[in-house]
Amino acid sequence: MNIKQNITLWLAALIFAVTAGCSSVEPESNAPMMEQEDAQAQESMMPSPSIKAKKSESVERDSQKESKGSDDMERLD
Amino acid sequence: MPSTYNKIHRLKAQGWTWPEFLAQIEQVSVHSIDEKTLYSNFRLPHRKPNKLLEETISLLHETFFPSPFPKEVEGLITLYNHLNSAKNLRTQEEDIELLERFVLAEIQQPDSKPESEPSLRYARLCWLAANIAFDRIAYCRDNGLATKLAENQMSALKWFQQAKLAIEHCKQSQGINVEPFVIYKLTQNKLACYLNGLPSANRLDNHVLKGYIEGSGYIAETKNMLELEPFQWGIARNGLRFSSLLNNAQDCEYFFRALVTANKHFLDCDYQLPGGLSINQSDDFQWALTVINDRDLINKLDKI
Repeated sequence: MNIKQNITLWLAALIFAVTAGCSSVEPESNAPMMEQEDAQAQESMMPSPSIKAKKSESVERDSQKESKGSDDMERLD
Repeated sequence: MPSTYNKIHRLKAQGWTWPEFLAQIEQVSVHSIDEKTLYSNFRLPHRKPNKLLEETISLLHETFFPSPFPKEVEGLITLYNHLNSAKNLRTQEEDIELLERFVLAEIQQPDSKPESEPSLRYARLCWLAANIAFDRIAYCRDNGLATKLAENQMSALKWFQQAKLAIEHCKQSQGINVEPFVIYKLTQNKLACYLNGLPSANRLDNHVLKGYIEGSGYIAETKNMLELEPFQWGIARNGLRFSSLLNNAQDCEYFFRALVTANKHFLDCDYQLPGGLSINQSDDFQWALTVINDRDLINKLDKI
């Protein structure tokens, strides 16, 4: 009985420690998602004075939605 | 630049055995490449080569198939390609415009004009000017910039044509040896200017595009090219695309056979390379697919 109680207590303490540890992690450590959001936010605030600056954004967007249909030819060098 | 897959095939087509191929690699590189890696990149078009293999094969390819163009202009093309594919570079378009200004000034110098003395340097600079305009076409199309689209299309076509004329002149008057694939690339690039200017929905029944394909001798030139280099799946795929757009069943069969000869993976019409569409996914091939199915080509070629 004592052994069972001890094990239960240890498990409870362990779960508490893990939960507390996770909640205390700084937001920065969720790096990929947060950085991506920050980068996107910065990008959208940047002026895009000319055609290609807009182009690079649109290419990224297009490559995501391009599941069917647009099949351009590559230039050959 | 041809892909590593094409370079390996072109090198191998010289008649090397795999041990000879590896021995040649050792001549140009301090790093060794294992046969398995080399062979899998030979066999699989979708395989992305690692950096070491890519660099080593490029070096070997340059040794046996050197570019006919001056190194300094080749360097400029590499520089532009890096600039054009750079991600999150805020000054990208301004930098490209600066480079374009320089290239156009070089081309338009009196001693660079074709009537004075066309050179391969001039031809390659025209090619670079065309590339810069060409790379703007898809963006203009997707964003409804009709005037800009027409300007860039005209400019790309003009400079690709000028490059072609200059190379042909150098071949004839100066006896410079330029392999047929170099000229073929320009033919294909010009056609790409027309095709990429159109949204995919407008390609199927476009008289301007059809007229250009028929008048350019593209199909015949593509067949000749495939005779010389049957491993060029990209060329076979484009041949199939344009035969499909022209509704030519005989050529559809020819180019589908050529595509499967280039690589058996293309027997599967869902076969997709990274960043590209499969034949089944692309609108341009819809007519060809009916020919492939009606003639039972997949089953027939699978048995060969």
